[in-house]
Amino acid sequence: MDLLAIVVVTLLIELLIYSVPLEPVRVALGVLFVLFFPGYVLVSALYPWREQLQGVERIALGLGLSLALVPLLGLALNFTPWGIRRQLSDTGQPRSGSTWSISRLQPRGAVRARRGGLAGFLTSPLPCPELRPARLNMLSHTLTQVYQGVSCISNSRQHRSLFLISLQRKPY
Amino acid sequence: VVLEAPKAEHRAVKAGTFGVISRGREIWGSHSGALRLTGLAGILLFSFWVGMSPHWDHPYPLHVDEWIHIGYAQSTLEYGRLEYPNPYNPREVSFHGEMGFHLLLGFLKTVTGLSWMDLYRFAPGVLLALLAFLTYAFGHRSGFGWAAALFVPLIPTSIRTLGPAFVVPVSAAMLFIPVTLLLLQTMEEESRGRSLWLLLVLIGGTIFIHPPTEAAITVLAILYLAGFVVAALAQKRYGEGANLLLAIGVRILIPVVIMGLWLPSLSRKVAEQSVSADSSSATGLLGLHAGFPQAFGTVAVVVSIAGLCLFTLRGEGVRSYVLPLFALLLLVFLAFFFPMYRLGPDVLYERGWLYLGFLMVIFAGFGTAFYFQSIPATAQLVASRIRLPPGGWMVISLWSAGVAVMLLALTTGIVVNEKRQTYAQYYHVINNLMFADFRWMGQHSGPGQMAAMGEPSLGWAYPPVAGPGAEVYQAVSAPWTNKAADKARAMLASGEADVPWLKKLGVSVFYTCRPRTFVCEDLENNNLFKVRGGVYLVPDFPDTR
Repeated sequence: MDLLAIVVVTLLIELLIYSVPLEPVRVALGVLFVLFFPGYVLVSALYPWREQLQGVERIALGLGLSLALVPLLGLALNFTPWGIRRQLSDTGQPRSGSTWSISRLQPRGAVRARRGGLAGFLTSPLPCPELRPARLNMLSHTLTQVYQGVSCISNSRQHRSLFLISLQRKPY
Repeated sequence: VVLEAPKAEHRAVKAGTFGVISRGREIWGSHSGALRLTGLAGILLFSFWVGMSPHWDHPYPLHVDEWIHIGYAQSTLEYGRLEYPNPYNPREVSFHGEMGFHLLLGFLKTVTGLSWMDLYRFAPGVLLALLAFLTYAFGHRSGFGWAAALFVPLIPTSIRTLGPAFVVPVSAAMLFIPVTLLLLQTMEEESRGRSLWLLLVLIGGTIFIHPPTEAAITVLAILYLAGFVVAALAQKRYGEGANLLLAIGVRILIPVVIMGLWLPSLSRKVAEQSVSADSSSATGLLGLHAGFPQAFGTVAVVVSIAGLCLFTLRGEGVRSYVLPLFALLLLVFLAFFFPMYRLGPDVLYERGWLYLGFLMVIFAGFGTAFYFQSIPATAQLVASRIRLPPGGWMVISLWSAGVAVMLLALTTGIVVNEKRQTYAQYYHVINNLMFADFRWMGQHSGPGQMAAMGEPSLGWAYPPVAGPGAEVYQAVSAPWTNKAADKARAMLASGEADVPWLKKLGVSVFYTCRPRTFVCEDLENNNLFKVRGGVYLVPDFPDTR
């Protein structure tokens, strides 16, 4: 459920960034999204069972590892053709968040399937078929990012008006 | 009747005291989860409050280093690469050693949509609360998390050593210390392979956020892993020992390789500076630190030392001797080795005090929690010594004494601490008027149009406020200086502007207001166009691009 919630919030964040101007919600979820989700999902991947880590430790490792993963993601973006543009840093995070969450959900389902057979697999948090639309969504989004990257590069040199124009106007 | 009356009164008092204690235990037993959560929330709020205290009435960053990192983070986002024109020296290409911190800030800004000023206004409190929470998580299993978290705000936040309540790379990287300790602690009880992988991920974060902290964490992790090796060899688990030795090798190699390949010039510079007494370095100009223990609080230091002894004697697992050993090594480096021989990077000396402060917090927390856990046994012991029946009054007295010492440590460390007040000389770089000036200057500058500050330390604040693409001729904080900074300061002092010199530099606007006092000087030169107090335009400036 926790990982499913992360996927939902991740998609919600994208809506909040691009479509729905709800600033306080965006700030609250955005902070969680950058400083908590990536690490939490990684911890869940490595320690899938509740008894392996206490709740507080899981949260703490999630926070700490997010702080480590986010700069690494930025470094990776630096080596892409698009760089660390706003459009990519906005969307690269959600993509990575949901990708990591989905990658984590699958093994949990697989473990459950091993333990509980087909019934266990079917009751797993996110069965495999649901991954397909997510992957398609990612593909479409990647294409959108390519477009955004290109348009961003072409528009990035739109600089501000000349300084001395201000002489004609009242400064304040 | 006369003799019976005091006895009956004594019984009634005793029954009342025991009643209160047993009622308290009952409430704790039935609501322990909620009460723990409330207590933790209280501790985190306290940390947040301490972190925010200099910001309640000042909405802007305080330290020049905070401004610097906003400037670089803004340029990272603006240019979309890790290499970009240095906003503080546009003729230079920046490839900053703390780029991970800029990326973290950049992601936070773009995802939350906050402005830099809003982000920096609340980040100090959040950062300190986060450190308190991670410290709590580390000590949680051993039962001292709450006390250690409570003492986290004692770590001095000052202009010189910065501190956890300044939003700078060292504060963010300090968060990795409790996380690393938590992982290493997990390795004592859970699968080691998985934790080792996570340790490698953490290296990636720390080294790109703050390399000196990575050096400190590397030493800590190696000591810890060496402890595991010794334990494995003692139990004749040779295969496990060999694997751990390999892990130590990898743990040392990765940061060395990353620094060598990624930032070779910075690594070379730090290595050279480590073996030379460079007079332009921080310790060369500012001298050695003095008074860190006093800034931490004398009572808290005593509690920490007591806690250190208890931690060594009564602590659990490998950490019971690794952490004291690390603290001892750090203390030897900070108090004796560096001051005597000046060997080692300056930055490690400057920031090392913070790491020591963090370890002191852990020891103080352990000591405090140990004291409270030992109260029933102590009450029995004390009562037997003074030949009185152990009763609730004894427990309450010991409990009150513990609370009093804690409050004393916190009060003398944070509130009534002269050294801390002088140590934490917060200064206000800009005010609302200067903020408006910078915004306007940024909005009306084009490419190649640089601003220059009469007081060059103000230059650090210009690009973050003026906005993406804004450039300042240079930014220099006292006591550092150079010829151009001296010239700008002289112009401000004399009130006479050297317009040809400004034109030669490619400066389009000259700003004459001063930080802290916020006084704007008047310049007497008809060749400059005065827009408003403090803002002077240089006519016919050349386009340097």
